[in-house]
Amino acid sequence: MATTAHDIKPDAGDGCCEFTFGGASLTLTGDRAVYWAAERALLLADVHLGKPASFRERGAPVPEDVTSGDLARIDALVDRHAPDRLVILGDLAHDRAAWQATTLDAFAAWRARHGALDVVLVRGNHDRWAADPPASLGIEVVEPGWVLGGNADKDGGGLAMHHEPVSGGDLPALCGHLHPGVRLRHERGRGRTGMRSACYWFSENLGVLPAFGRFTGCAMVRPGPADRVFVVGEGRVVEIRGRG
Amino acid sequence: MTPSGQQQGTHPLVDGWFASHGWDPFPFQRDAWRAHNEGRSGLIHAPTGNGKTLAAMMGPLIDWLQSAEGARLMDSESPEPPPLRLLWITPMRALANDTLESLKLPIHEMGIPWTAEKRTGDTGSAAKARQRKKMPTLLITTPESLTILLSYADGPTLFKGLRGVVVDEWHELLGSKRGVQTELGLSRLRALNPGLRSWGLSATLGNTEEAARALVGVRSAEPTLVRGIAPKAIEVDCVIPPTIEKFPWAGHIGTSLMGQVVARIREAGTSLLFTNTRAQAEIWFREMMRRHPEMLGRVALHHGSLDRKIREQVEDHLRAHDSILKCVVCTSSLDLGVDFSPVDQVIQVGSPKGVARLVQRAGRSGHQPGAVSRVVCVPTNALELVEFASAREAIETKQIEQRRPVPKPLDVLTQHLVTAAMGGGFDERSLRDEVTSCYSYRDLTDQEWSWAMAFVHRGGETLGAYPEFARISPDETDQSGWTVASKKIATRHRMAIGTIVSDQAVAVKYANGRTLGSIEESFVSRLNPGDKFVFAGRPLQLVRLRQMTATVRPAKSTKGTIARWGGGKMPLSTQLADAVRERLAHAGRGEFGGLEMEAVRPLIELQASLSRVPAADELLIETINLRDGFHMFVYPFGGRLAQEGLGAVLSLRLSRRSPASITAVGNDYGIELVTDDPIGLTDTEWRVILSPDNLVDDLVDSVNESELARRQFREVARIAGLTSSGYPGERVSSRQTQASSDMFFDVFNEFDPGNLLLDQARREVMEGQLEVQRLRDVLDACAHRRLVIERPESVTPLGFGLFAESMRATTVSSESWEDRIRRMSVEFERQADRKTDRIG
Repeated sequence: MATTAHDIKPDAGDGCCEFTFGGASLTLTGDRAVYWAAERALLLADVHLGKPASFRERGAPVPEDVTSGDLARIDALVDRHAPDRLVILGDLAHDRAAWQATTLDAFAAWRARHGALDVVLVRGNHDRWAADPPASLGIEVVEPGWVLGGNADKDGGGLAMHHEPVSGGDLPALCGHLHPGVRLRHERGRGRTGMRSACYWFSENLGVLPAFGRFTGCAMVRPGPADRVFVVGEGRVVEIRGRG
Repeated sequence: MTPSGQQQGTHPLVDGWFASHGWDPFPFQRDAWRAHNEGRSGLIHAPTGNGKTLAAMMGPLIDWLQSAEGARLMDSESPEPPPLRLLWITPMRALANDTLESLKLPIHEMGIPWTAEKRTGDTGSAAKARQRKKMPTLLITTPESLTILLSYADGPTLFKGLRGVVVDEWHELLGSKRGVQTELGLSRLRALNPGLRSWGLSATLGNTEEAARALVGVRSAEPTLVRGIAPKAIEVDCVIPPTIEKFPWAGHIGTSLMGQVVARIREAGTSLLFTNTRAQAEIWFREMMRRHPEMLGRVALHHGSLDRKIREQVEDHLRAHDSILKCVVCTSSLDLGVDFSPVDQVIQVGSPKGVARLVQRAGRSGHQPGAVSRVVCVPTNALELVEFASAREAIETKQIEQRRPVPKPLDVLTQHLVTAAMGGGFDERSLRDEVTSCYSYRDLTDQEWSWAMAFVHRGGETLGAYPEFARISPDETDQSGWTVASKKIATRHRMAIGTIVSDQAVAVKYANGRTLGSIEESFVSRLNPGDKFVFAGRPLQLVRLRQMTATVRPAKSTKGTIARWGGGKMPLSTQLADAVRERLAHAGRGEFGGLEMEAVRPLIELQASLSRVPAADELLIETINLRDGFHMFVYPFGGRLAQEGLGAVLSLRLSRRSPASITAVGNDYGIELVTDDPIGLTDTEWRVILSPDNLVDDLVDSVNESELARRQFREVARIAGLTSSGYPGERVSSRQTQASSDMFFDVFNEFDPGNLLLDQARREVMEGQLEVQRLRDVLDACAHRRLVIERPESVTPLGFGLFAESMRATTVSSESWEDRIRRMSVEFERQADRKTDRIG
C-alpha cells in the first residue's frame, strides 16, 4: 500500500510525527503517548502498574525498576509538553498488586510530583479487576466513551476516549487495549531477520495507541489496506509502508 | 559377592536363554556384562546394527541374579517383585513401548520376578500415582519424566536402592540441552546411590570417549568403552540422473528422478524414503501418488507434524512382517530407535549433510547384526552426487562427526536448582559438588554458580531490584537447606520442566473435527483464509485460524501459490565439507573414479574451462562483472551457517574499505558478494579482508546480533522458567509467549544488563547459529591456502547455486534504526472484507 505523506511531517528532529485524525492535530511521540496540543492533553494507554510485582509473586523475576522507569517516562513527557491534563485510556493498573505496597508507594510519589495535573482514567478491563485507584491519588475515573475536545453545543467535533476498540460511534475514537504491534520485513528478498515493533494504528474512525508500560508486550495486528501504521522504537516514530 | 563356581559376567540362566533362542552371545555383549559385573560404567557404541540392548540389559540382570536378593527370590515359590533396581532412559517416548516389550521378553522367559513398566508424558495419572507408591523393578522413562520424578518432595527416596541406569541413544541427547538435563539427573541419582553404574548406548561418534565421559560424569572412574558389531558393510548407492544439469541450483526438489526411484522401490520389499525437510516429504509423497496412482495405499507419509495416531498406524504397519507397505516417505522422525525389521532398503533424498547421519539412516535397513546396510542416494542437484561420493569415502575411512556436549547452559542450571529445591531441598555445597561433577558444568565458575543461586532466590544479583520474589528460599523450620515454599511456583515449575522448546503447534483439523496433525504457528499465522498449503499428503485450504486450531478443507485445485513450511537449514558437516573439497581437488587433477564422479565430469570440466577447480591447498575466488552488478565468489567450503556469517563479515570489511551497498549470500560451499561497481582487490587486500583478526567484533557489527539474540532468548527464557508455553486452562498462544520473552529481553537489557541469561542467549547465537568457532577455523585454514583469483566470463557451476540464491540476500548496513525501518514494510491484510482481528 503506497501512502501519500502529505499530512505527516516529522517533527524537527525530536522523533515525533504530527498526524491529523478526526480533525484533531495530534503529536505521536516516540515514547508511546499522544500529545493533543489544542486540548493541552497528554494521552496514553495500558500502563499496567503492578504487573512486575504480580509476576514476581508468581516466580518470574521482573525488575522493580520497570515501574519507576515507566513513571519517569511520564515525568519526561509532562516536562516536555507541559500538559494540563493526562488521560489514561484504560489499564492503568494490571491487577490488585498495583495498589499494594511497593507499587502504590512509587505511584503515590509520582502523583505528588504532579499535583497540578488533572488525571483522568478511562476505566479498562484490568482496572475493573484491580479496583479504582485510592481516592487519595486524586484521579478522576470515567467510563469509556468520555469525550475530550470539540464543542458540545455544535454537535461534537471532539474525540471519544475508549479502552477497548469500538465501531460505529458518533465521534472518532481513540483507544488502547490491543497493545498493537506489527511484524516488519525487509523489502528485498527475505533477510535473516525481520523485526517486531509496537505501533500506533489508525483506521478511518479509530486510533489505537501502543501500550505505554514497558513490561506489556505486543500483539501482532493485521492492518487493513487503507489503515495507517506508525511504528515506535528507540524513542522515535516512523510511518511504515504496507505491502498487500 | 560372586558365588564360587560362577563365571564372572554371566549366569547359567542367561546362557540358557540365549541357547533357547539358538543364539550365542557376541563377544562385545560378554565384554559389557563383565564390565558391569566389575562395577564399572561406560558406553556401548556401534555404527549401526543391533545387540546393544541385550548388551546393556543382561549386565544388571546377571548382577541381580548373583546378588543375595536374586538368589533368595529365584528360590522363592511366590516371590515379591524387588524394588526399583534399573532405570532405562530413552530419548523418545514413542520408543518407550517397544523398548519395554523387548526388555520384558528375556525377564519373563527366564522366570525372573522383576516388574517392568514405563513412565512417560503419555502415562495415565492413575498409573503414575501407583508407581510413586511402589516403583517397578525396571522403569523405562524419558529425561523429562525423570526430572519430574526428582522434583517431588519424596522423589529422592524413590530412587534409593537403584543399582544401574542405562541411557539409550545417548548420541541423540548428547549435543543438546536435553543431554545436559540428563547429566544433571544422573548426578542426582549418583549422589543418592554412590555405587550406581551408568551405561550408555550410542552410535559411534568422532568423540566417543568424550561422550562416555559426559555420561559417567567427571568424578567417576575411567569409563569403559565397548565397541559393538559394525555392519558388514554400508553400501552407498546413487541414482544417477540421465542428464546432468551443468548449473546445479540449490533447493531444486528433484522429483525428476521419481521414475528411477519408484523402480527401486518396486524391486525391494519395504523402503524408507528419507527427506531433509517435512515440506520435501510432503512434495515427494504427493508427486509419487500423482504419477503412480497404482501405489496408493502402499505408500505412507511419516513426519513429526502428523497426528500421533497417524504416525503410530504407519509404525505398526512397518513392524508387521506381512506388511502391505512398499514405502514410507519420512523425515528424521524415523531416524531413531524402533526396529523395523521388514525394512530392507533406505533411500536418502537430497544432501546427506553429515556422515554420521547417513550411516544412521543406512542402518535403518538390514537391522540384523552383521548384515549389509544399504542406502540409495537421490541427488536433488548434480553437486550432491559429489557429496554422496564423498560421504561414502568418509564412511570407509571412518571420518565420523563429533557431537559436542553443550557447555554449562545457565538456563538448564536454574531449572535444575528449582527442581532440586522441590525434590526434598538441598544443601548448597553438596548440590554444587553434584552439578560440577557433570561434564557440562565441570568448569562452572564461582561467579556463575552464585549468579544462578541469586537468580532463583532473589531474581537477580541486584539486591532490592526484585522485591517479593523468591522461587527458592532457605527453609526456615528445620534448616534442611533450600526449598520451594510456594505451591503455585512448584506446580508451574513441574509443568515447565524440560528443554524442548519448539514453535507452538496449531492443530490442523477438518470442520468435522478430524485431526490431521499440527503445524507451526509461525507458518500458519502468515496465511490468510483461502490460502492453500500441502499437509498430510493432501492439498488443503485454510478456512480459519482460531484458538490454536486451523480449520481446513480439501483444496479443489492446487493452482496458485502453495505455501511451504519447514526449515532445513542444517549445514554440511565439517567432515563432509572437507571430504567434498578433497573430492573436487582430485577431480580437478583429472582423477574421477566412481559412477557419481564420472556423472558430474562434464560439470567439473566446464568449471575448469570457465575458471578453475580448486586444489586442496588453494582458495578459489571468482570475480565476474555482469549487467546487474559485480559478483565476487569465494569458496572456503565451510558449511552454510558459518559462511552466511562470513558473508556478512566480508561485506562489512569491504564497505569499510569503500562505502558501497553490498549484498551477501552463503551456502555450504561458498559466499557470493554483489556490489554495484567493480572492486579490484589485490592478493594482499583479499588477505586482509579474509583475516581471522577481529572476527567476533566484526561479526557482531555485521549481523543484526541483537535481533538474533532476542529470538534465541525465547528458548533461554522458557527453560529458565521466565515464560511458559501455557498451562491447562490458560492456553497462551506462542505470540503471547513470544511477547513476554521479548518483554524480559527488553527489561533485562535496560534494568539488569548483567543478567547472565542475556549473555547465554548471545553466546548461543554466536556458537550455535553463527558457528563462530567453525568460522574461525575456516578463516585460519584459508590463511594457509594459496589464493587463486579467476575472472570467468560467466557464472560457473560452483557459483550457480549462490547466484540463484542471491535473491534471498542479506544486505549489510550500518544505518540507524529509522533508516532501517524506512526500508522495511509490513504485511497488510489482503482482503478488505476480512472480519477477524479488524478494528472498526
